Amino acid sequence: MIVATHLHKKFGDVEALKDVSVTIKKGEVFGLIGTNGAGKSTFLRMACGVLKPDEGSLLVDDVSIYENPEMKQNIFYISDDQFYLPNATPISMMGFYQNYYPEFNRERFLTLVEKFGLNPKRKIHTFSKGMKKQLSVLLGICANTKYLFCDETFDGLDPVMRQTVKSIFAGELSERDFTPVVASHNLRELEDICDHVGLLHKGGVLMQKDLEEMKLNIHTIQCVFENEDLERAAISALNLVKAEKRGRLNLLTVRGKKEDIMNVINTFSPLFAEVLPLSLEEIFISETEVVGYDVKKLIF
Amino acid sequence: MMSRNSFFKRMKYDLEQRIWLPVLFFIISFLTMEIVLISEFEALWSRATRQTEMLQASFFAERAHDFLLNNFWAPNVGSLVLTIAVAAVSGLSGFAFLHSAKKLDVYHSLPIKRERLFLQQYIYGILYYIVPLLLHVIICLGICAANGMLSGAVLGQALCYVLVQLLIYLVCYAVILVAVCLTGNTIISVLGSAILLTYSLVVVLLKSELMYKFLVTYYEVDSLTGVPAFTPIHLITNMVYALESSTGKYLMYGDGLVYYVKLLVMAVFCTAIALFLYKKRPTEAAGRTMIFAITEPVAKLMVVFPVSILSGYLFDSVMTRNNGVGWFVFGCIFGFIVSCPLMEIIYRKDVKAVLKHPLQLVFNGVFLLAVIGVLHFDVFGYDTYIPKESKLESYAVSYLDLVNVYGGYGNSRESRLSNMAITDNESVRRLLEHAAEVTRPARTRGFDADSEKEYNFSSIVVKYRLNSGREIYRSYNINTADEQVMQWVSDMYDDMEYKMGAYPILTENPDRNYVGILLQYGYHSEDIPLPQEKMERFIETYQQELLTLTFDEIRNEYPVAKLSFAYRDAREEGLEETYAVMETVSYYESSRFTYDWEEYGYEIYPSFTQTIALLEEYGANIVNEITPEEVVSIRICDYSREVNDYDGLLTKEIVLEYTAEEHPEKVALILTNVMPNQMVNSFKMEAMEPNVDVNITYYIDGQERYESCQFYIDSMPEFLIQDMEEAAQ
Repeated sequence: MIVATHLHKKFGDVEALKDVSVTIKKGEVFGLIGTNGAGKSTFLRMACGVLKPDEGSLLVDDVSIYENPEMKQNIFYISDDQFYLPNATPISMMGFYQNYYPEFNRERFLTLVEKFGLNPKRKIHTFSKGMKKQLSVLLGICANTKYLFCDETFDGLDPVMRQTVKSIFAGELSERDFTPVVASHNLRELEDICDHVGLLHKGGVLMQKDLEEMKLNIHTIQCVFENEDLERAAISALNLVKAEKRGRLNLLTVRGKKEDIMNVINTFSPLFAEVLPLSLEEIFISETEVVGYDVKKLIF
Repeated sequence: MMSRNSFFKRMKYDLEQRIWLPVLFFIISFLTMEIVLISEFEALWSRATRQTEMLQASFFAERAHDFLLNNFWAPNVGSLVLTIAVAAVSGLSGFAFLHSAKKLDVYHSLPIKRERLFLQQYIYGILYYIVPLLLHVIICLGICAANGMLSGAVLGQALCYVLVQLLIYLVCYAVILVAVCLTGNTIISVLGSAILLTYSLVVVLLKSELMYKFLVTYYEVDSLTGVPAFTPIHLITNMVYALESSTGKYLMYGDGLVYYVKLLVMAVFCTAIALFLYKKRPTEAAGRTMIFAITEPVAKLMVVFPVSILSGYLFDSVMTRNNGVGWFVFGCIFGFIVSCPLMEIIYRKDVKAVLKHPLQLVFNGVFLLAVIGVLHFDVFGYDTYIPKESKLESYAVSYLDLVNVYGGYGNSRESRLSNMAITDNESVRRLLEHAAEVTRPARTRGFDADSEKEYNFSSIVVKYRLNSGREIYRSYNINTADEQVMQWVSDMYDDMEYKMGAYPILTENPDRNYVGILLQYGYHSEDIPLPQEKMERFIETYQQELLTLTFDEIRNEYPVAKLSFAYRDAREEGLEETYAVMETVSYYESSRFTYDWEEYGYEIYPSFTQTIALLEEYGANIVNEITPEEVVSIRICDYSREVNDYDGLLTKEIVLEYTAEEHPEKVALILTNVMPNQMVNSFKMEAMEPNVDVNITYYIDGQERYESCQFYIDSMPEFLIQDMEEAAQ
C-alpha cells in the first residue's frame, strides 16, 4: 500500500504538490487524473524515489522509499518520455534492467515482445513513439515488481494495445501482488483500466474514489411522467445530483443504487423510465460540479 | 556491498555507450608511446652503426637508457595534456546523466543507492583510463626487453610513470566531477571544469599583473610558487618543475614526493566533495545553470573579477600613450560592465535578469575598485616596507650594475640571492632605507626637473630573510649620483658576505668541474682549457685578488679582460667520450674544449697582477687593442641630432662609414679614442660619449668579428665632428 500524507513539493516558486494525501491500496489499478501541471508526474516521481518531498511523508508498504534500494526493487517507474540507452535494443534494455531487478522475467519479456510485434534486436531509436511506450510497459511488467508507476504511458496507445495491456494487467493482478498506478489527463483512456481514481488539480487532491462504487452509486434516469405533479413528487423523492428537462423528457442524475432509484420512480407510475449508462467523464463532471468545480475546464 | 558480478555486468552497458573513450585513448597513446619508442630505438641503432662494432651495443644502451629514464618515462607535456583531457572527457561523459531530467528519472528510480551509482560511474571512469595505459606500458616494456633495455631502473621508472599519471588523472577527474555536480548542463560543466582546474593559475596571473602594475617595488621570484597551488593544473606544473633536476637531465621521481602527497590529498578531498554534492543535489535541478544557490555569488565574483582585471590589462597594453592607471581602470570598468550581465544571462537565461541581483553587482564592483584602490595608493605601505632589524636574519642584494655574474644552470639572479647572507652591516641598512624612500616617487611621479638635486637611478633587487624563515623580495632604485649612496654601496661591496654571495667562484661548488676559462679582452677572445691542478691554482689566485677588489676600482678603472669559468656538471653520469663520431652531451663547445655551462661576468682589473701573470704563463696575451690593419671598417651612428620635421621633432640618425683601406689615419685615430662596450660598466657611462655608436668590423685569427664601442667623452676627433656636421645638413 502507498500512503502519502501531507506531501509538499516546490520547484523554485512553483508549488507542484500542496498538501497531498492519497492512499493507494494494494491490488487495485489506481488512476491519477489531472491536467498538465497538476502534479501527477511529481507525485509519481516521489513515489518511486526520484524526488524527495519537501514536507510530508510517502510510505510504500509502511517504509520510506527515498534512497531505499531494497524497497525500490518493488517499484518500476515508466516516465512519460522514457529514456533508453543510446543504440539499445529491447534485448539490451532487458539486460540492463535485469541487473537491477533480479526478479525480471526474461522469457516472458521475449514472449511478449514477439506477441506485440516488436523486433527484439532492432534499435529502439528507430521505434515509433507508440512502440516505445509498448516496450516500456513490457519492461515494467516483466520486471515483476509489486508496483508499476506509469506516467501517461497509455496516452498514445491504440485501442487494441490498450485492451491488450488491460488484459495483461488483469492477469498480473490475479496471479500476484501487483499494483499499477497510471497517471493520465485522459479520463476515457483510464476508464477501461482503473479501479480507483484520484483527481489532482494545481498540486492538490480534489477527490479520490473507487470507480465501481462511483458507477454503482450514481445513475442517469431517462423518464416521462403523466403529469407535472407526479413529476415533481418523483424528483423530490430522489437524491438528485442534476436534473435536465427536454420537453416532457426528464434526464435525472441521481445518487443511489439502481434498484432503489427505479423502485422510487415506479411508485409514481412513469409513462417511461430507463437507466442510461454513465461514462467516467460524466460521473466526474457530476461529482465535481457538486463541489463547485467546472471539471470541463480541468480535464478536457 | 555491490557484488563484483553485477558491477561488471552493469559496466558492460556503460562501456557500450562510452567505448569510444578508452578506444580513442588507446589509439592516441599508441601513437605517443609505442610508435615514439620504436622510432627512437631505430634512430639510436642507426647512429650506433656509425661506431665501431664493439662499441655499438654500449653506445645504444647508454643513450637508450638515458632516453627511457629522462624522456620516455618522464611526465612530459604531451602525456600530461592527454591524461587531463581523458579525465575531463571521462568525468563529463560519465556523469552527463545528471544534466538530463529524462535520464535521471531512470537512474534515480533504479534500486541502487546514489552513493553506489556514483561509485560505479567513478570507477568506470578510472578503469577506462588505467586499463589502456597499463596495456601500453606492458607493450612498451616488451619493446624495451626486445632491445635489451629492460632493467630494474627502467621498470621502476615505468612504474613511477604509471603511478604519477594515475595520480594526475585522479585529481583532475575528481575536480571535474565537482564541476559536474555543481552545474546543470554540459556547457556550464565544461566552463566550470576549466575554472576549477586552473583557477590558481588565474590568481597567479592576476597577482602578477596587479602587483607589477601598481606596486613599484614588487619583485617576483617565481610566480607559480608565489601563490598556493590550490587547483590541479597549477600543482601539476609545480610538480613537473620540481622533478626536473638542476641540469634538466634526470627526472628524480622521489623528489616529487611532497607533490604526490598534495595531489593525493586533493584527489581524495575533491572526490569526497563531489560525492557530497552528488548526494545533496536535487534531482529536479537537472538543466539549471548552477545547482546550489549558495555558490552563485562566489562563482560570479570568481569570473567577474579576473575578467575585469584582464580587460583592464588589455586596454592598458593596447593604448600606446602611457596614461598611468587611466586606461587600466577604464578597461576594468568595461570588463565589469560586460561580464556582470553575461553572468546573469548565463544563470537566468534571460536578458531582463541583468539587474536582478543589484546587491551582488554592487558588492562585486566595490570589491574590484577596492582592490585597485588599495594597490594604487599602496594603502598597506608595500613599497616603503622594510622589515624591522629585530626580525631580520640577513639581507641579500643583487646590484647588476655592480656585479653581474650569471650563466649556468642555477646561476640566475635568484640563485645569487639565495647564496648571499649579509648580516650586521649598517651601510646596507641605510642603503635600503634610502632605496625604499626614493623608489616609489622615482617610478611613479618622476622628479621635479627643476630641482637642484641630481638623480641617476640604478635598480637593485633585495631579499630580506626573516628570522621566521620567510623571505621578502623587493626591487628598488638607488640614486647613484648621490655620493652618500655610493659610499653605502662601497661599504656593501667591501663586505665579505656580499662578495661571497655575489661571486660563485668564491664558494666551493662540488657539482662543478671547472675545465677551462674563456677570456674576452676588448676585441680579442681566447679559450684556455686547464687541467685540474692549473685550474685550481688559477681559481685560488683569482679568488685572492677578487677579494681585494674595491668599489673605487670598479668605478674608476676599466677591466683588462672579462672572464668566464667553463665547467662540466659533476652530477652527470657522463657518457664515454671514446666514441669516434662526435657524440657529446655537452651543450657548448669552445674552439678548444667542450663544457656544459659557464659562469660569466667576472672581470680582471689592472690590480690583478698575479692573475694576469698566470694567464700569460698559460699562454694568454691580454692586449685590449687592435691595429688599423686589422680593421675592415668602422661605422659610426650619431643619434644626438634632432630636426624639425612636419611631424614634429624627430631624431635624425647620422651614419658615417670609414674603411681601413680608404681612411687608415682616421681609423687609427678613432681606435685610440674608443672603448669596447663590454668593458664599460654603468659607473663609467658618464665618461663615455652618449648617443654615438661605433661599430667596428675587424679580422682576428682569420675570422671576421664585430665590436660595438663608444668614444670617451669629449674625445671625438675633429674630422669626425666636421663630417657629422656636413652629413646633418
